[in-house]
Amino acid sequence: MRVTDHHDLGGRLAGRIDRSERTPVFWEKRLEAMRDCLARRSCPVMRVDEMRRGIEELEPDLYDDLDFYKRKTLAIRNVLVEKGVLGADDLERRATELRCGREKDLVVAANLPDPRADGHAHDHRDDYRIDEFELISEAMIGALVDHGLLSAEALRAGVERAEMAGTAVGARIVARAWLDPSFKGRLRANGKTAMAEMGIEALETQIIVVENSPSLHNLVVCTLCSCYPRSILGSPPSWYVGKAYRARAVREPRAVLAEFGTLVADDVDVHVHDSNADMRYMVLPMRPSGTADWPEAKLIRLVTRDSLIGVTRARPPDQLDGNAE
Amino acid sequence: MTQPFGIGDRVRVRDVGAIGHNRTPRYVRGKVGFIERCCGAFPNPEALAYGGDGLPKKHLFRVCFLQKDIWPNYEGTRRDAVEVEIYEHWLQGVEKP
Repeated sequence: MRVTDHHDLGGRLAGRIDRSERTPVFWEKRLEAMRDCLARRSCPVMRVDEMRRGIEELEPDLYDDLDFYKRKTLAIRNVLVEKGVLGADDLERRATELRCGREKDLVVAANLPDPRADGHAHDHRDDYRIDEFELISEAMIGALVDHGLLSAEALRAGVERAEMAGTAVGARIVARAWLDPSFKGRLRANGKTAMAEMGIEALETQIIVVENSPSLHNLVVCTLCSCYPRSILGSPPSWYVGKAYRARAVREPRAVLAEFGTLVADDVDVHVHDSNADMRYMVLPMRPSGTADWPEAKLIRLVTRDSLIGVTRARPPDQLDGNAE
Repeated sequence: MTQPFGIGDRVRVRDVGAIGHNRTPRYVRGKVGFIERCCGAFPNPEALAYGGDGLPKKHLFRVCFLQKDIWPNYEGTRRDAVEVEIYEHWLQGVEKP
């Protein structure tokens, strides 16, 4: 196996960005938490760099055909087996046991009456559908726990921690920066330490906060993989980790922005930040006009996930949801 | 550790056919930009990816490139830019024109 350039997408030809969204399902969250736990041990079991190398060594056809989490699953498995941390036969045996368990559940579920006949909205029999990559991931988790390389409690805590990250965290930071110029200065000088003042602990090496202005619009991408300030903003949107965005955001940012409905005038510069190494980025969008006397809690509601990536601006006041103040 | 480059220095990204994992995108190889900031020194990901400890640490720089210098027929303004993190061993100093 060797690394190819197939993952290095910046500037390649690509079509329209598919903006349909898909939130990670539970096994995918466990996979991410497992990866994080393995890297954070005092003697890391697998570093994120090793996983990236594993993804880059996937055959180009696999890289193209598998979605983001499936690629990660396969790469982690390959790296852990290559390093001798886990055994391929043991993983196969565990996956087979898990599959048998699921098949039994499927049989039971298939014999249940269709709940939708009673007006139930969701057919829970779908929950027992078998995903082969989920079986691989859960087999790895089981083996790692049994070998003492992963604590079930740390895994659970990792999933919980990830679920607490999200747009709301970024929105609080932005609203504080809008209201407090000296905080904004500290945020731009050192994102992590400024966020820590608010009790927000970013786990990344550093978060660089780039500020939009009347003469500058910022956009964030990771052309090589999917780097994103996950510990504060949660999982990136599906399109962010998709190939079209990764290829086109550096090459034709204004066209990409237009696809998101964001038009940038010619007298405004566009700076694209490729999050390709150890830094992570968050855009500080401009404070919408007409909000001069707004309290922090109301300003927070103007900050969207997409404005923190830079594909859109913050919501204007007249687009705020019509909820009570 | 002394830094090999200062803010504002013009640098070119080495255009070497790298073997193995690295974090230098192909679209900036051979291109000239300027140092926007030094991000610090970190273990070398090219070694970490293969189980090494990545030491000694290498300086990581944010390099600012004008888009018009990267892409033929760039469709944007002449001051549009892309900022990319490049490790010191990928950079060489360039004299100001």
